[in-house]
Amino acid sequence: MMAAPVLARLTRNDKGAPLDRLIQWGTWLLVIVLIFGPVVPVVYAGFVDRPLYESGGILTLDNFAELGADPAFWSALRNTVLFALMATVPGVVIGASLAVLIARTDLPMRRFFSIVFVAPLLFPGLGVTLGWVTMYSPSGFVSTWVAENFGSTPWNLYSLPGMAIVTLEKTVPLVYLMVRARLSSMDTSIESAALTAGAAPLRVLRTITLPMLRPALLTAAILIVMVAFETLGLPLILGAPVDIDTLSTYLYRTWTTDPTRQGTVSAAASGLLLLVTFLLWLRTRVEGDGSRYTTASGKPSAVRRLGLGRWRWSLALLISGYVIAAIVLPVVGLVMTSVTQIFTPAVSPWEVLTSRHFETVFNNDALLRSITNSLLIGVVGSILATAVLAVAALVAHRSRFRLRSTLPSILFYPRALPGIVVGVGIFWTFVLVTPLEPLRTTVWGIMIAFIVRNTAIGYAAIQSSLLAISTELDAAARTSGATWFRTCRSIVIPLLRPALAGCVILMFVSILNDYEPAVFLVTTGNEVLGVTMLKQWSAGFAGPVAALGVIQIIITALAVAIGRIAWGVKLRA
Amino acid sequence: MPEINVSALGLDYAGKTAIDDITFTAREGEFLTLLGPSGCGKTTTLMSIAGLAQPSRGVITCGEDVLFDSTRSIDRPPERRNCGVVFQSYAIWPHMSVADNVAYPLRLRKVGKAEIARRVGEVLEMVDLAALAERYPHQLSGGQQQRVALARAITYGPGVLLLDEPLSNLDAKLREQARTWLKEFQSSVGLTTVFVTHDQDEALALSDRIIVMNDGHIEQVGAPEEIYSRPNSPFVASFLGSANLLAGTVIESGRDSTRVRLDGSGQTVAVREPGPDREVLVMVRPEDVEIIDDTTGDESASLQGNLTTRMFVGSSFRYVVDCGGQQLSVSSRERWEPGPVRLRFRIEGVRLFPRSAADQLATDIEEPVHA
Ligand SMILES: Nc1ncnc2c1ncn2[C@@H]1O[C@H](COP(=O)(O)OP(=O)(O)O)[C@@H](O)[C@H]1O
Ligand SMILES: [Mg+2]
Repeated sequence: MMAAPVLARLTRNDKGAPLDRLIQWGTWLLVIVLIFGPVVPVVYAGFVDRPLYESGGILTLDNFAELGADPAFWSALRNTVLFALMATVPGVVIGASLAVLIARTDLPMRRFFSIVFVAPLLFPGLGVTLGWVTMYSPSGFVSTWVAENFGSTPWNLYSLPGMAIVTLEKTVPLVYLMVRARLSSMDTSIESAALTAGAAPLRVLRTITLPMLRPALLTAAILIVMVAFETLGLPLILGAPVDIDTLSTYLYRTWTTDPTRQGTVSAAASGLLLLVTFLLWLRTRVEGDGSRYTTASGKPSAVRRLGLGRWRWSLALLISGYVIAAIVLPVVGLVMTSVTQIFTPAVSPWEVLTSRHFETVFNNDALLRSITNSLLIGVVGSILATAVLAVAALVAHRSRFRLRSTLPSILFYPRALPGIVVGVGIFWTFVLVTPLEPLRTTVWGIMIAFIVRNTAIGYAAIQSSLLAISTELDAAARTSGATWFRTCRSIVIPLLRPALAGCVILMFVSILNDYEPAVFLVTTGNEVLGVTMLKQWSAGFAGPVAALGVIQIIITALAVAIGRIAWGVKLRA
Repeated sequence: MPEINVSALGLDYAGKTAIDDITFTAREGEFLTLLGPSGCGKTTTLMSIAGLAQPSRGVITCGEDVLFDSTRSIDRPPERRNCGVVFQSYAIWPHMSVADNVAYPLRLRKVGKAEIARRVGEVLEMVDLAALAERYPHQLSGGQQQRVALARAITYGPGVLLLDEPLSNLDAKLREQARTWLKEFQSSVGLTTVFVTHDQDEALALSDRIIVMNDGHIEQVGAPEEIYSRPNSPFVASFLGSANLLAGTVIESGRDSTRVRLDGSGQTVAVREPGPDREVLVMVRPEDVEIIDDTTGDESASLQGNLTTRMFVGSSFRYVVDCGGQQLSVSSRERWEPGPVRLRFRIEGVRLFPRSAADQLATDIEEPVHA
């Protein structure tokens, strides 16, 4: 080693610290305004005696009284509760069983199943519902085949149980992921201990594994109830034709058919909001505060798999049957509908092949516009949202900003915002805040609504990666002389790049497939995919709806592939 | 080089006190070590100086600069404290080359390109890494990473150097080497250095002075030899080196000669200091106990015991001797067979502590677990 000279001291200029505070406050305020902005007018509108755009409103409870006096509301509430119950039990049972089988047993084809199970999360909801209809509605392919061979079909899609079955498409993957996450954090040695004590494998699953999953199962159940209360498209398509209203379709119908009852709608919306917020609170309570923030611990302990013995292949067969019936056939139905004149068992599909529906989509201005609009707000919105969420995450977890600890809960709160409530809220905001009024009829208003609705997904992706980056890395930059913002820019953001790319992809897919908040915002010129599909369907045009659904799936697949190839993004939920 | 003054520093985490009433001065150019078991608040103290932890009370100054003062609401942000910090994990930025890591503090200070190149070269030369300037962190060994972290911490000429267990992530052999290197490095650069470790050997070998911490407060401050030979609590005695602590009762007390009867065997030992209390602990280090042949019959200044276990530890033997139920550890170069023996204490090495101080012994100190 050389004799070291004492290094001359260099000083730094002291600009930059005020910028830190400005960014931190700015981000916090922006988040507050974005997330609570839409909520305030909804609640407020429920408590005044006239539409918000008329001046001189008086505070009143009349809207709630009127709501209570409306028998349609009570029947919608009853339906929703029944629907939630019917969706929850099979959703939890199937999702949890699949997770246990994949994570803990020697079931054949585990890798394949584990990918296929979560694929429906990326499918557009409306398109898939159409697929279900083509297969399982009374005149659908499968129903007809069953009726011919067994005399009758034991199910009816246009009913509450029918809606509950179709919801499985989305809820089973969610439950599956939650339970799997819990299983992977559980030590298998407890199960091994029971095995060595002489218990049979299936008995171990039943008496040891399942009880330990109880919190995860409860959380999953609450999540499904939340989904059932929020969802709009499914009850609109399957319930409306047979006059079954749920809360969300009741809201939607009342709003669109009877403008004089906007106060009542707002009252119902705030009730729905309160309920779902309560469910979210319950869910976080059950999950335990800590687990929300835990990152996947990289403990690569070998998992001991229970042998299923002679059940192995019968179970694999059963699950394959489920995959075909619930995941593959609806997609096939959707694709076939988009490429045939008419897709029905009465006519061989190969004789009526056509590209007509795609031509319709590309020749009709409104339909084409809904694709380009969705792409536009998807690209712009996902990038903007990722930027805001990244800075928000840095403020929340990497700064000394006074209100930092409030940010994660605020950003996770939109999980409790029903799409239709966000829609009503944004609508009112644009009506009331004059400078924002021009936004109301543009795609940008819709983009904001979609971003607000989906922040939790993107934020979770960024947060889990951020928490895995050692805080000493930024501490080292601070002590080297960098301000907070400079540290974020030059150290944390570069290290966070894969997570940010993942967030962009997730937000893009979410924005592309979302539609519920937009149903009140769409007019000519700012159409987006989902709403257009909904309207086309109501008008009876199944072909173009299917074509749009297929296009949506293709765009989603491309986005995921681009993320994977260009940035190595692997989507984990 | 300025000196660092820490006074009455305290920090609470959500109601729990992590450190309390920490007061010390790191003198100009001094190598000062904070030593203590894991969780005693060393890192918290160090990071409070660096501005990365927010103390609840107290004052920190560096030369003329007040870095922190709770009563005057002064809390200078870390980027304006001029502390070069080496973190336990080294915290080398993985997306930058060695040269870029070291140049980063200079870029922040708007130094010219040529000057940056010159200075980075110079600093890398100082830490023997000039050849690896273009490497990326994952291509470096633990020892090299540690030196990159050190280079980065000193490149802009910080006022003080703060090191948080920089050697604990190295394997035993390398650690020995790095220790010598660090000692030479620090004395040649002459930076005021606050060094944190839970390793007593490291502290003894490197420090000008040691601050022994326990459970958030300071136990003792002093030069290594002083703390080792004159610990002022059973905790310090047992944390630095190993110490026998024998329970006994003072039967005769003078200003510089006290007689203590040991519990169990009832034998007496003489000590050259006043008894602090009636119930005492007699502290004697294994190397200050001599084993003598039981047959010599020199009973005046010796204890009787039974040698039960012998372990060969390389440079010497370690014996366990049972004295009426109290176990003594004895270190000796001579080889003895199990059986009855006599023990003689080197009287300069024997100290007395009140028995009430024994409740916070450092006998079962765990190795710290690093996340
Ligand atoms: N961020 C924190 N939140 C709560 N408690 C903490 C935090 N950091 C440290 N502590 C607690 O403060 C005490 C001192 O910790 P630390 O300074 O890291 O100890 P050391 O570096 O000596 O091992 C410990 O009890 C530790 O649990
Ligand atoms: Mg520490």
